[in-house]
Amino acid sequence: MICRAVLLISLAGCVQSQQEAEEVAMTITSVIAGGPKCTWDGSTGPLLGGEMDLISVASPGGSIGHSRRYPIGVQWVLSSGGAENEDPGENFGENFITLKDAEVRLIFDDAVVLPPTDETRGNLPATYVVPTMGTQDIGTPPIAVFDLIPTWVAQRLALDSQIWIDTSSESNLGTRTPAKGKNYLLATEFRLRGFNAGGKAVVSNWFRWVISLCRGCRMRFTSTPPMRPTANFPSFPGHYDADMLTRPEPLPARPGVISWCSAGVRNGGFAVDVVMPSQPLRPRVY
Amino acid sequence: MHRCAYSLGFIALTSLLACNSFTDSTETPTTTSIMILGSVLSEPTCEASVSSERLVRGIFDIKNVDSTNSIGKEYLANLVIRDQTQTGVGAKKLIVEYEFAGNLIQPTAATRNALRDCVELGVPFGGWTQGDENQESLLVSSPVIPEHVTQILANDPAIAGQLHRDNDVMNTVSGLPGYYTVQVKIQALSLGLNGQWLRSPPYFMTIDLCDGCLERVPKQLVQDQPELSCRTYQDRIWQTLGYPEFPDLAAKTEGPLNDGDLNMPLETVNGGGTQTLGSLGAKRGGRSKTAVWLVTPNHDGKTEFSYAGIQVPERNPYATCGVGNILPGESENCLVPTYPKVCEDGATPCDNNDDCVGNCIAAPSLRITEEGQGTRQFLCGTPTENTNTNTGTGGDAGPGSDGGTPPPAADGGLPIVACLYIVCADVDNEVLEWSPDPEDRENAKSNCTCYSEDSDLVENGCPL
Repeated sequence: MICRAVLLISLAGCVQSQQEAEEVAMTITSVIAGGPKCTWDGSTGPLLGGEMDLISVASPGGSIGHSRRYPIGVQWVLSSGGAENEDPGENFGENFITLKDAEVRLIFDDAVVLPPTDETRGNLPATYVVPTMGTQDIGTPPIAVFDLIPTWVAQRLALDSQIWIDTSSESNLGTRTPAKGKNYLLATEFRLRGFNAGGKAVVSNWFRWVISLCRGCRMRFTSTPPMRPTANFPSFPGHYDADMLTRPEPLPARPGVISWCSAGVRNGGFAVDVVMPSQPLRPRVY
Repeated sequence: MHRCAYSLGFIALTSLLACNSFTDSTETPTTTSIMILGSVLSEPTCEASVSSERLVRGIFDIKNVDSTNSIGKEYLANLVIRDQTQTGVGAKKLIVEYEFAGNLIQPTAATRNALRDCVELGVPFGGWTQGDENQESLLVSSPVIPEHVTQILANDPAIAGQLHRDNDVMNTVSGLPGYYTVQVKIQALSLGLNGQWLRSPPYFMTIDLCDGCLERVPKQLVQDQPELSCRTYQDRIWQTLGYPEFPDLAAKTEGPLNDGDLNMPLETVNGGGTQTLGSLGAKRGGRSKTAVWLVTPNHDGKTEFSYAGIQVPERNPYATCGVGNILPGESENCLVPTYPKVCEDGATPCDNNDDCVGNCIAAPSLRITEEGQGTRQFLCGTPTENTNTNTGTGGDAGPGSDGGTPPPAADGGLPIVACLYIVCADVDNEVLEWSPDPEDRENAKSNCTCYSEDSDLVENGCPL
């Protein structure tokens, strides 16, 4: 009898420890731009809205490029206001936090836009987790960088017919083409997750970030329509090859301009990302 | 009683073990006497310090890592560690574990077995673990992805597929490279003065693997950043692309040197940083063409169309001339006909001999056909005092559309009208642009200028 009681108590203790509520120990304050160096050093200030270009992420010939993701950098502070000014290294107590990942959920229930199709929603999980890094470091405001929209999520969004309708326009011939002025508002929510110095799991508040999905608003290919690169094609994305360098006027097309943290995402870098996936020079003959 | 006591002890022990398995004992810190505070970026000099810029995302370019990692690539982390006990002695190492949960595709079973959870890899780190006086934070460097792990990751088929290692067209700087995210859980292990091992709470580093994302092709175009002598294959995520110098041509004209001249000079100026090519390059790629359009007045053969966002006559440029070998800051002149060409019959507009029964020749005047008045001929120049000139803002009004045609010249020759020319250099620059965005038009316009003897016509009628 005693043995059973001890066993029950022991197991109950286990269950209780597993069901302990996560502590909201962090507060995400803002989204900051990666800046031209993609270092999220805060030099370019906070972002007020998100923008992501889905052009050619999914196309009949296959997507162009190997990845298209939305990296985001968020600034966070400790939720307990009194600890913010303390030197976190002075006493590694409950207030010192090490980040592990971020939990993301896409919100489709807003009435502003029609939701994606059931097929798309069925292909997306309710939430997904993406890794991040960082601590409540000394001297610098803590920044967490993670892929808010990984490539595999971007591909599913790009294939959605409702988002396609909202980011394209119908021509006189009855065909739809990307319209860079049209957007699909995608609401996302995310929170940071990590551990405090005592090993206890802690989370941040859920932070909402609305992304304007578009096609062609931030990314431009130098061929029309963008074509998938072919093997051994004498062209490189964003580069001149030797032949182009020895070519006289007319000038070669300017090379692609893409930074690690942009690639069609507004992150405080270039105004427009340009890539040259396939097209060589074709001098016009009068 | 004894049996119950044994049973009780066994059950309690089992329960505790179960608890530990539930709560993941590997994430339970041994002590907070040492803590990993963060990681830092190396300076351009390859040095790093506690105050260096913090790294928020690692990049590890595994290009050219073969089946044996014969080039010996590894990812070196610079970690800021706070050592409150100032251990200063004993063996030190980092305990690392690898997680791949951030990817849709997981590594193969072989890789996961080799790097599976609960198998701790020890990576040694050395150096003095005591910080400076009153400075408990110190910096340690250690390969958190050592050579043999790099070899395993680089040769994993699933990771290779995600990185598109078989297709490097997009995988270089400024392309859209493939990435594969590895999260490294790191704990610092140190031996205290009393012989006790001290284990820090875990620190998580997120590192993107790529295949060529920090390289350029061809390599001679690396010019926007100074060459680094250390670890060019990791973390340098801030690279942007510098443009090589190219010629930048612009054209202009001041019309015929004298009224009635059948040719007029065009000047092509190279405002770029390099010389245009000479005969060898011209033979390979063709000489640059400076072109001229006649916009106003409407004349035979002229129709409208949009080119690179500029409204220019379709049949024009009615003349071009090749230029080449122009040094930076210098210019080259060439002669083009003052009027669009006609066939030898004097009436049929033409571009070349193929358009004519005979030859396509320079026209001595401008031919304008108006309804009810037939075809008349004019000269371009400064209209005489009583001449009705075309000053319409549309830029397309012919001599007969504004209330009258120019009277004959005082000397009894052909009437003179103000003509509006556009000359452009290097217009093919825009041929690859996807759409005539405003910035493209601005770029195209920079190569062009308008000219007319009538300044008002230039101001109001130039379509640039």
